[in-house]
Amino acid sequence: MKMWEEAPQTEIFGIPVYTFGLYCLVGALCAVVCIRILCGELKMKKGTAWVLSLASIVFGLVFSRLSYCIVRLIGDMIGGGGVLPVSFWFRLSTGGWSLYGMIFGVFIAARVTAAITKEPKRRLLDIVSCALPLAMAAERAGERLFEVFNISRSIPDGQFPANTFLAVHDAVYGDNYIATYDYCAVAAVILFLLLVFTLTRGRTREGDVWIMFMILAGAGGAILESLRYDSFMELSFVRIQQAAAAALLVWGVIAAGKRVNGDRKRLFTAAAISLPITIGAVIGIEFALDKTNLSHVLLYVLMVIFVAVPVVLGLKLLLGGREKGKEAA
Amino acid sequence: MKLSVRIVLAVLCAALIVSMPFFLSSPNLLSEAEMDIQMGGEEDDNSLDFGRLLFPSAMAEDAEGGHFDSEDIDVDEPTKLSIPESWVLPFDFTVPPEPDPDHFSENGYEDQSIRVRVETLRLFDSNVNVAYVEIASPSQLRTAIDNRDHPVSQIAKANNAVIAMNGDYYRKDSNNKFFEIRMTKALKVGKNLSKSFDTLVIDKNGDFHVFVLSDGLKDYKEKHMNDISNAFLFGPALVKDGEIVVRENSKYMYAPNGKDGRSAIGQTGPLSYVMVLVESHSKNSEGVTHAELAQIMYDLGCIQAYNLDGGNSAELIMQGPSPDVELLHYKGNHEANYRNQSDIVYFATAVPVEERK
Repeated sequence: MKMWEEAPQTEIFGIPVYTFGLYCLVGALCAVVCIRILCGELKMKKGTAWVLSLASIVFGLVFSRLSYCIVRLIGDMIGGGGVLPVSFWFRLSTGGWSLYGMIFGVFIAARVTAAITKEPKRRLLDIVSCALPLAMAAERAGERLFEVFNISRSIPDGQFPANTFLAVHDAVYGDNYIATYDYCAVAAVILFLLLVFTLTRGRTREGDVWIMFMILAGAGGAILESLRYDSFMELSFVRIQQAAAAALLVWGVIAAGKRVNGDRKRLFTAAAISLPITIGAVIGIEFALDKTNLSHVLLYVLMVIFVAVPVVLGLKLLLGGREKGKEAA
Repeated sequence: MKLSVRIVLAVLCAALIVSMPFFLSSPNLLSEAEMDIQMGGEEDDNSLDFGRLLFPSAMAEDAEGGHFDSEDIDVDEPTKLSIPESWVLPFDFTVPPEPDPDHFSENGYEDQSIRVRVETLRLFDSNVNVAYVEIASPSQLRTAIDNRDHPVSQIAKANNAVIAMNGDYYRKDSNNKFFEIRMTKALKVGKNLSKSFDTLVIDKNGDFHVFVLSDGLKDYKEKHMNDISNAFLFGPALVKDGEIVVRENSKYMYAPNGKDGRSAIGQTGPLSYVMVLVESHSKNSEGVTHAELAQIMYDLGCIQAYNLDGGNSAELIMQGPSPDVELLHYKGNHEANYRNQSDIVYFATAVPVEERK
């Protein structure tokens, strides 16, 4: 079997395999185990875990590839250099996958599974939302294998976190770079623990964990994608992955708002207003990072503060709705 | 749900997961694969390829990667330098052997595989630094890319360059109409190539091919893609097939008719080249126009010559016997700081360290 030499490879029992694919295997395996355990814990019908797992893998892969190919197609059309043939979309070993496409595909998988098994779709979305961060962590850890991806914003000599485990050291040139993929992988594991804890505590409404995932993964992604510097999935100066993360955050906050009524409507209005302000601020900070000499640490602190506003308001909407539900009960 | 159905689902899950290391090669489209697709190539029959099943016709055009007969350059006399076959460097980004400290002179370097001599000429009221280079094998003319951008001197040092100069800016441009290849690795191979720029192609024989406004490039690419070692998009073309490329009222690139620092590379014969760096923004060197640079390259005996990135980006550097001391370092703009670059063109020795006496 022909292997692309450019991609990192390893051997298992003498068989050459792609190392990145191996990381994805580990991530998918962990995610399936997680789905299996949670379906058992939440007393889902027998077989639901397998339907959900299979659908998640299939839809995750399909939407991941589809998203990449569509972005690539648009980029090619804008660039005017001719588009890749449609056959490329099906040549899976060439590389070209989108993490956020995968997330969207898994959401679709939960809905399809709900239709097949007649289980509540929001509860299934909760379950896949817990499993997703495990796949994300492994995928991100796998991306650091690629030198061309493992490029992040540089850290000036002597400045934190240069020469710590939070930085990647380039031995050839002696430079330090932010270890973005490590941050992403660790953030995903923390998100997994948080969501599983929330779901298994037993005080959530169906769909709360899914919305939490969207808010937190979206917010984290919007910031972490900014640390990258590898031109992966860019249309002009727009980083598609970062825009997709922002869209996830917006979707999460709106979904949280749609679950409240009465006196909490004002909180939802505040959250809704904070979204365009935050997006505008993040765009402004991105320009400041690229075009000015302002302290990057300061700018990132500002970015975290701005992004935290809709996150806090969104989670408050969820939490408030949950308490209200408890009182009614 | 029946146990048998659950087992089938579990087996399908396991099969999909286990298959991942065989087809998930990279998050991004691999440039190697992109070139293969652009050329209409096919993967091995055993590889996972749904495209072939669904779109057989789209995959059927096999690239005509036949043998290339040099037509552009009249090759009369072989180079005087020769090396054993086992010393020949590969056409990839392998870092070549370090230059031998004992083989440097005050203005050059010479060993069994490479001969470099640098001199400064006074032409057009400017300092014109010329490096005359002869090599034993084509792969000693090399390029390096640096995804993180560094000064030319650092990239040159990291790649054990004997002599190096800046490459072109467009490697990093998002326009996919460009044709950019480095050490046989396709960085950009747009199907519809830009007709606004000149392209320099270097083949695996070390011969230059200049395409004015990329005319003829598409045909050349289709026939000889596998014979190309490097391709640059900057320009303009300065000399083509032994004639100066004349452009009336040129508006090509930045300030074509203004006096500025310039860098250019040309071929003077089989495996013989010149690298030229014209200084500017100093009291005694005002720089040259594109037309003047073309005249310089022609007078130096170039059969083909091509302008690379100029102004603040233009640099020519030669490492010295000590790794920390540069023997020569010229820059296009005396007033500017060194600019970080994403690629260089350089020449390397092929003499293995263990073969040195």
